[in-house]
Amino acid sequence: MGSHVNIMESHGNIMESVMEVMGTSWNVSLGHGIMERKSWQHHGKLHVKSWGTSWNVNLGHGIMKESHTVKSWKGYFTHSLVENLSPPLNPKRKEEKRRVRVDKFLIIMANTMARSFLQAVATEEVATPLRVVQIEGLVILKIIKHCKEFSPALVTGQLLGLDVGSVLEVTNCFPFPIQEEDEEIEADGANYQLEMMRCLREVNVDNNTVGWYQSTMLGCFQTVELIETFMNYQENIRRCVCIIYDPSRSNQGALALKALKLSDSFMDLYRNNNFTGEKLREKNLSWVDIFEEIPIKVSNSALISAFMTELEPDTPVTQGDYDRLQLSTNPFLERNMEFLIECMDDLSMEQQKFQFYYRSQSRQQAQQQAWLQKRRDENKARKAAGEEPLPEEDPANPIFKPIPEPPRLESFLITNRIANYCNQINGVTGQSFNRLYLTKALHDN
Amino acid sequence: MAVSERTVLQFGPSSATASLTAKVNPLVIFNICDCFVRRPDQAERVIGTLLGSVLPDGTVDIRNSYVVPHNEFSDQVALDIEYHHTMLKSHLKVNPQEAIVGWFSTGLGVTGGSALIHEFYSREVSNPVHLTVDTSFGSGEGTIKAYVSVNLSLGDRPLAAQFQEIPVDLRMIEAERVGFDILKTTAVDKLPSDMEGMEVLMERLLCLINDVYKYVDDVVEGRVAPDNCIGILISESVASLPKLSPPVFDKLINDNLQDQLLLVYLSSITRTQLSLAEKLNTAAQLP
Repeated sequence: MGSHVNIMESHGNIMESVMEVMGTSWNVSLGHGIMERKSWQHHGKLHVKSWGTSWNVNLGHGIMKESHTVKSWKGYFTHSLVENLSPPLNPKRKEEKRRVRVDKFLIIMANTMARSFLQAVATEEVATPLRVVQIEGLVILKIIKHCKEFSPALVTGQLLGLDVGSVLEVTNCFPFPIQEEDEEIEADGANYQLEMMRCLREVNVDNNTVGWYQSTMLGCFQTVELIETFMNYQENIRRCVCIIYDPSRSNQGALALKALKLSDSFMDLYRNNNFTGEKLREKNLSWVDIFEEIPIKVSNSALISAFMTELEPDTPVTQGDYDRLQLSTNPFLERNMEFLIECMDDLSMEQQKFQFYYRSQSRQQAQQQAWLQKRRDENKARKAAGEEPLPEEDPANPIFKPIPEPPRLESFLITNRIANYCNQINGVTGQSFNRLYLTKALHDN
Repeated sequence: MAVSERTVLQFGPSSATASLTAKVNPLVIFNICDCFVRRPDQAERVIGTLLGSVLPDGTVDIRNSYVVPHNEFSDQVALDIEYHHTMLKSHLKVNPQEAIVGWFSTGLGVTGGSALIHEFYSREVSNPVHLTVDTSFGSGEGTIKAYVSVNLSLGDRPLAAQFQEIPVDLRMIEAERVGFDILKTTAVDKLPSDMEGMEVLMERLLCLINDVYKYVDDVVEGRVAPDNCIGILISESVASLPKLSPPVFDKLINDNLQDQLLLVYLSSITRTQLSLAEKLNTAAQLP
C-alpha cells in the first residue's frame, strides 16, 4: 500500500502537500493563511480535498506547533475528524424535525502506520471536562442580531468552532431559517445547512459544529425539545454547547447570554430512559443537576480590537448605561410573574398526578394484602380438609399489575423554569432598588 | 461654434446621491475583519457583498455581509459569482428583508479593480454602495469609507466611473448594548453580571456629576471662562428632572419600593416551596 505524506514548505507558514492513499490522490493544504503566528497553535487546520469525491479533513483538537516535524504531522492527520459530504443528509428523519440537523462525522485512517498513534491519543485524551466556552465578539453580535430581529419569534442557529482541550472555541455561527412543518421545506432546510457550511468552509471559517444557539423569552428555555436536540448533537460530536440569548432582557442593559450543557449523569439517565424515582434517588439527581452552566469567555482578534478602539473613543455614557437606568421595569416583571404563575399551575398539576399515583399504589398494596390474607385463610381451610393448597400468587389478577409511574422529567423541568423566574425577579428587583434609591438621592439633592 | 447637446460631458444622477448616507452595523465591521484574518494566503484583500436595506430617508442601512472569494491579476478580477449567488440565496432564506445594497473591500480607498467589481454589483442592484475598510492601518488609523459611483459619460459613451464619497454613520448602538469593554479587548474572562454592570454605572454617574460640579464651581470662582453652550446644557439636564412635591415623590418611591419588596418576598417564598416540595417528594418515594 503506497501511502505516504509529502509535505513541502512553500513560504512562511503555509504548507502544501500531496498525499497518496491507496491510489487516490489527495491535495492537502494547510493553514489557510491565518495571519498571526500565535493563532496557528489554535487554528491549525488541515484541509484535504480530493478531486473526485469531496472530503474535508479538519484538524480539530490538534494543537500544532511550528516545531512539529513531518512525523507528527502524520499522527495528527490520522487523529483528525473527517466530515463526509457526499451522501447528503436524509432530510426525512422525523426526530430531526424540530430544528437541528447534525452533520455526520466519521473518522478515517489515512495511514496504517499511525494507527497506533491514534490509539495513543485516544487513551491520552479521555474527556478533559469542558470548562470554558470562548466566544468571538463576532459570534456574540451575530447571535444578538439574529435573535433580536426576529423577536418575539424564537430562532436558532448553528455554532462553528474548535474544541481545544478544556476550552470550546466558538469562532463563527450562522442562523437557521424559521422552519415550517412541511416536508419539502424541511429538505430545503437540510440543504441550506449543507450549503452554508460548504460556503463558509470555502472562505476558511472553522468547519466543526460545536453546538447551537437559540433565543428565549424571559428564560423559559428548559424544555424537553432542548434536551432532545442536545442529545441529538451529543451523539454526533464529542463536545457540544447550547448558547441561550434572551432579547427581552437586553433592553435593561444586561447581556443575557448563557452557555449550557446537560450534565453527564443526566445524559446517562436520559439515554437509558430511566426516570423512575428509584433511579433518581440512586444517582442523587435533583432538578438542579440537569443543566450545567459553563462560564463564557470573550475573545476578539487584534484587528477587531484595534478597530473598536479606533472607532469608539471612551464615551462617558453608553447606550447600555441608558438602558440600565430605565426606571420602568414593571412590564417585564409583570410578564415574569405571569409566566411564574403559569408554571406554578403546571407544577401543581404534575404534583397531583404524582399524588394520585401514590394513592393508587397504596390502595393497590392494601388490596394485595387483603387478597393474600384471604388466600392464606382459604389454604388453611384446604389443609385442614386435606386438599392441595392454592398458590399464593396470581399474576392474572388485575390488582397485581404494577401501576406505571408518572414521568418525572416534566416536573423537573418546570421546577427549573420556576427557579429561573425567581432568579430573574430577584435580579431585576435588586437593580430596581438601586435605581430607586439613586433617584431618591438625586431628588433630595 | 455649435455645440450639440449630445457631446456634453454628463455626470450621472448626482442629485440622487447628494443626500445618501450609509449606516453601518458593527457586525459588518466585525465580519470584514474576521474574513480578512482568514483570507487565503496569496490574497491581498478580501471583498464581499453587503446586505441591508435603503431606509425611506435615503440612508443605506448596512446590516449584514458575507465574503466572496475572488482573484485579482494585474487588471483582471475574477469573482466567484456562483458562490455569491448561493450565499445570497441562503441569506435571503433567513431574512428576506435584507437585500444587496453594495459591496465591501479591505484596503484604503478605491483601486483599479474596484470599478470592474462595482460594475458587477450595479447589475445586481441599482446604485450600489462601496464600503472600504482599511485593515492595514496604513494611515495610522482604521479608515472606513463609503462610496457611490457616478457615471461619467460623454454623450452616450460611458467614459469612466467616478467614486463619490458619502458620509458613514458609525454609531454603534448595538455594540454599546453589548458593552465595549468586552468587544474592545482581545480577551475577557467573564461576562459582567447585572449587579457589576450597575456598580460600574453608578461610579460613572458619580464621576459625571462630580465633573459638572467642578466645572460649575470653577466658573463661579472665575478659574475657567464660562461657556454658554455648556451652561445651557447643564440647565437643561437639571430642568429635565420632573418637578414633584416631596410628599408625592415620597409616595411614588415608596409605592414602587413596596411593589418590589413584595415581588422579592414572593419569589423567595416560591423558592422555599420548591425545596420543600423536593424534600417531600423524595421522602414520599421511600418505600
